[in-house]
Amino acid sequence: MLFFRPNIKITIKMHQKKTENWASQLGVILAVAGSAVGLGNYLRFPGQASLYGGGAFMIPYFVSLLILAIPLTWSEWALGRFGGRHGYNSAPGIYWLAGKKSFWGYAGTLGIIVPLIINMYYVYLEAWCLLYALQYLGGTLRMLGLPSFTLFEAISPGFSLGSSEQYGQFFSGLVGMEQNGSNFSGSFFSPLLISTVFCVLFNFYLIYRGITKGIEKFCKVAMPLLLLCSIVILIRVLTLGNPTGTPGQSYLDGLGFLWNPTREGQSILETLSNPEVWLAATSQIFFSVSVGFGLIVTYASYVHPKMDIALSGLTATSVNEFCEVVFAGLMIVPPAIMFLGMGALTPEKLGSSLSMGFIVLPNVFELMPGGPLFGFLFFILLFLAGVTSAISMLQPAVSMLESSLSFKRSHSVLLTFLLCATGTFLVVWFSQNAKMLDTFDFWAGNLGLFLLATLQTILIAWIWGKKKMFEELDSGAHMKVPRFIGFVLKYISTPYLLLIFGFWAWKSLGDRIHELCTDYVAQFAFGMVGVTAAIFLIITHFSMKHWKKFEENSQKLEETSYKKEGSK
Amino acid sequence: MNIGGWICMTVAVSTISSLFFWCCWKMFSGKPEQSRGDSSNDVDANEDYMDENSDRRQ
Repeated sequence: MLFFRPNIKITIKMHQKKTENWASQLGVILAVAGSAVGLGNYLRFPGQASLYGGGAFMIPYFVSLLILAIPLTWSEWALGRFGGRHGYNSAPGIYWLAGKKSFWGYAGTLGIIVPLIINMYYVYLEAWCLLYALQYLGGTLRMLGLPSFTLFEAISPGFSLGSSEQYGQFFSGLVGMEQNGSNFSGSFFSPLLISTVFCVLFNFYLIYRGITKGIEKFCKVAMPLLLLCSIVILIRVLTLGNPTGTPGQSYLDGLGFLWNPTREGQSILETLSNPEVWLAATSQIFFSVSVGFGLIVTYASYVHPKMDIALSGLTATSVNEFCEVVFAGLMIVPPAIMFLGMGALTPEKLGSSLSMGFIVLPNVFELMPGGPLFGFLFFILLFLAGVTSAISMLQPAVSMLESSLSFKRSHSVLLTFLLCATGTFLVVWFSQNAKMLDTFDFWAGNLGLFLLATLQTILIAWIWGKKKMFEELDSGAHMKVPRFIGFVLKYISTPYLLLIFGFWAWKSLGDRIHELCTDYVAQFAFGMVGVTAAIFLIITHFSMKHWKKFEENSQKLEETSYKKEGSK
Repeated sequence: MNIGGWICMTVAVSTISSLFFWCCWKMFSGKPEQSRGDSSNDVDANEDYMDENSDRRQ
């Protein structure tokens, strides 16, 4: 095939400006791991595991990791670098190049839209984490006898509200759950608004700085810090003993709540025969490993062709799993049981990452010795995890604008900023019951994600082909990827993904379509998703004409070059 | 925590930890298994690659 002819330098296909590459292998691993490690690891995983059978949940979880996450991660890295070595740095271009049909170009647009829409509300969650961290910092300073500060009226530094109900009320008021527009009433420059604006600007500043100076540099600092915070908190949790002295509220009881495979009146087999458990485990893997987002494809396209991607892909996945299973699995649920008892973790609170993070855990930090310090460390950890994930969601759109419209980086960043800031404003304004956030999350973070992952797996396994995937994975490899991964991807991952996607659509789509017909906020959110999709579909449509011309010219150049070599 | 919980937690945590530490060890000590080039100095290789692309396009 054209792409691996030895004498024709791939560089003639580089139809863009000078393409930036990652400066080091560690940098790209930390950036991809940072993209994957997010709020879902620390808040969603313990909740989902406790809710869906504890230890029994880990069986479908590991199955999904082995047959979906790892093969898909490797395939995404391979596809991404394949695109990058031909001068394509955005999902539409890479999909179009691999699929050789316009359909795949349009399908690749999902790899821009999905992360961009998720970023619109993710940055709002990032702002909550920053705000909570600063509030705890005030408490930590007071603990040390230094001048302290508080961000919230009538609340002392470090939070002391007394009960989960009061934390719930405080949180609802803070994020404006009662009424739309309440974030803008009263003082315009409320701490939450300032925090949101700061997070948006900070993310875009890092993106503006570029792959090497912005994303890579930040992740090289943020990821080790995140791991350090996790270790400190884990050590604290492990040394708590039984702080209340109440029977049934020790660390081991907390671990049992999360890990025991049998529940009252329910055996392991009964748990495993429930398809919802499999759906929950697969969704969790998707959320946590960041496969099917279009992010790995974009990041991998900036990897140098001679750099390893096989071990890098596996390392990034293992860092993510280490944070999720080892850190989150051992440090989030036990303290909640130790200080608040079994009754504190109701299915409602376990099912919602927001309740777990912003209502239950602050209550725990209030009761924990040295709580403000550990509260600060925990929310800084979540903030760092949030930033590393949020910036990875912006890069696909920026790459697309840079490569397709030949925009300067500053112009691409500005256009993406305008789009994202509009979406974030809508999320902040329509805050009642977090409706806008929830609707964005469903259409982009759930439907878009499943759809993109399914299409991408079909593209790689059935159209692009495992031969090219392994050729790409072997280039500069520090480990040999087992060949059965190709079989798994083609004959196990694809049907499994289709099955899970079908079950999810059957279970969830009906209610959401009904909501879309009746709720104006849902319609507004869907409209925003539609506008974003339309913008990038139009850009893709015109870009594909340019790409087709370029590929034709490249082919002519190659043929001319062959003739010249033949005549010599 | 019952015996089943201990087994599940031990298997999950040890499997993931082993994978993580194996990857770290391999990353910092391993040599390319099958390489189309030397990636021992990634930064230099990267700069050469970028310069090469830039020159060719000119």
